[in-house]
Amino acid sequence: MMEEIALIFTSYNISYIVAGLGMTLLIAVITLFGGTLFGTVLALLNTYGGKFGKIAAVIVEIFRNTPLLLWVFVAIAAVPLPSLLSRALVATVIFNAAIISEIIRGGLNAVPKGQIEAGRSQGFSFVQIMVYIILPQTFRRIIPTLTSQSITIIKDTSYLAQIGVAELMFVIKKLMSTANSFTGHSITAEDVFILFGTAAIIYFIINFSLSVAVRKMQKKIDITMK
Amino acid sequence: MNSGVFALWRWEALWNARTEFIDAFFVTVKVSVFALILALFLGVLFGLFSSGTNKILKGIARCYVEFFQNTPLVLQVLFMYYGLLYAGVDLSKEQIGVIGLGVYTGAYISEVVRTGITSIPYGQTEAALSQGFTHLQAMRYIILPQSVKIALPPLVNQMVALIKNTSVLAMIAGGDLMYRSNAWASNGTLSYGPAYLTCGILFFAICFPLTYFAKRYEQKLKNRANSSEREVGAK
Repeated sequence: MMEEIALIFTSYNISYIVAGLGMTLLIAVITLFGGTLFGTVLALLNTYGGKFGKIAAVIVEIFRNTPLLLWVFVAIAAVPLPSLLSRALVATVIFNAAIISEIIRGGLNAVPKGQIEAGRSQGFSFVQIMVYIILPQTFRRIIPTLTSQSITIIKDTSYLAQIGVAELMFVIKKLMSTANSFTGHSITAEDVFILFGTAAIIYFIINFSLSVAVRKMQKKIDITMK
Repeated sequence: MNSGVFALWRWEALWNARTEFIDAFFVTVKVSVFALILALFLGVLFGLFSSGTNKILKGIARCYVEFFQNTPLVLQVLFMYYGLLYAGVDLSKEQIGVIGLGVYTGAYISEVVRTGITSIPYGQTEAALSQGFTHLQAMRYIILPQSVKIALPPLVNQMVALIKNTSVLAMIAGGDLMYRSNAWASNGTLSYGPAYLTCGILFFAICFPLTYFAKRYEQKLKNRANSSEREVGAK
């Protein structure tokens, strides 16, 4: 086992894995922020948009009831952007915008309606009311849920291995399939175990830390809300 | 020939390949059903462990939930697929799908079950025990009937997640709907439009009724809770 580990973790392979991890985190961060931005727009439309609200609701339902991988494939085939990564990001951002918009909508509904009227009576415009009064409170409430969504986002980046984006899962698969070039023998179950075990540990450390943070935040909110 | 994404001849090609799609759809349904049975079994078992009093069982349930919730399903399935392949163990891709999805979703259902049980105040168990109920009877007649109501919407949402997650099988060429749609479209005619649209509609047709029901039911429970609060307040 130890010899095999030494054979697999050459400095070149380690830097390859680290680069894969970097790509995973980059995709996750862009997806989270892009998804939150468009998700906010969808949620506002859905809540205050009247006719447009119906359209937003339909968009949300479509994405909530179909798999992410389908949208990744669709984006690869249909989005006119130069790189695979940028096309895949369009899919992950829009897909998560739909999911996150439901989280934000829950937060929006929790802010008492009277505050909008209060803002109006003070001469605030709709945009000002949202930016200065409603959204800050909404986001404070949904930060824990948004953080647990970011765990899902990080896990879901691994679907992009299927289309050849060099994120962590892709890198591990690639190392496994070329393992004979640095171990000097054909691939064994042990190689699979070491490589996928390493990936599991990396994902676990990141996501477990986030889930611990979520639990702490929730406790704090439970206390302050009481 | 018309090269439009949704050109008529592409639909004809899809129609001619319909048995492939129907078979793939049934693979997805079959894997979903068996994975759901496994997930419910594991979920209820570990949910009971983690809401019980035995510290060791609680610890085991915690490890199970944390490990499977905090690593990607894709990793778990690929790990199992390649691990078994190189260890020379012969399991079909559908079996791998059932086990992978079942164990993964079981971790989520276990949390749903735990929340359902712990949301019923412990006083009710004590009251039942004081009336001569055994622990099992208290669970069966007092706690679980209430828990089920609370747990139903999130449970249905987990079901939807499971069905969508069957698409992970596409990553091991599992013959499921997602795999078949993509494979059929990439080979030869490049008729992505009809293939992906059909795939999307089929997923939507199964998942939407479920999410709709979950949303409605949750709203009903909420309204009932609000109105009973109001009644208490009025007195």
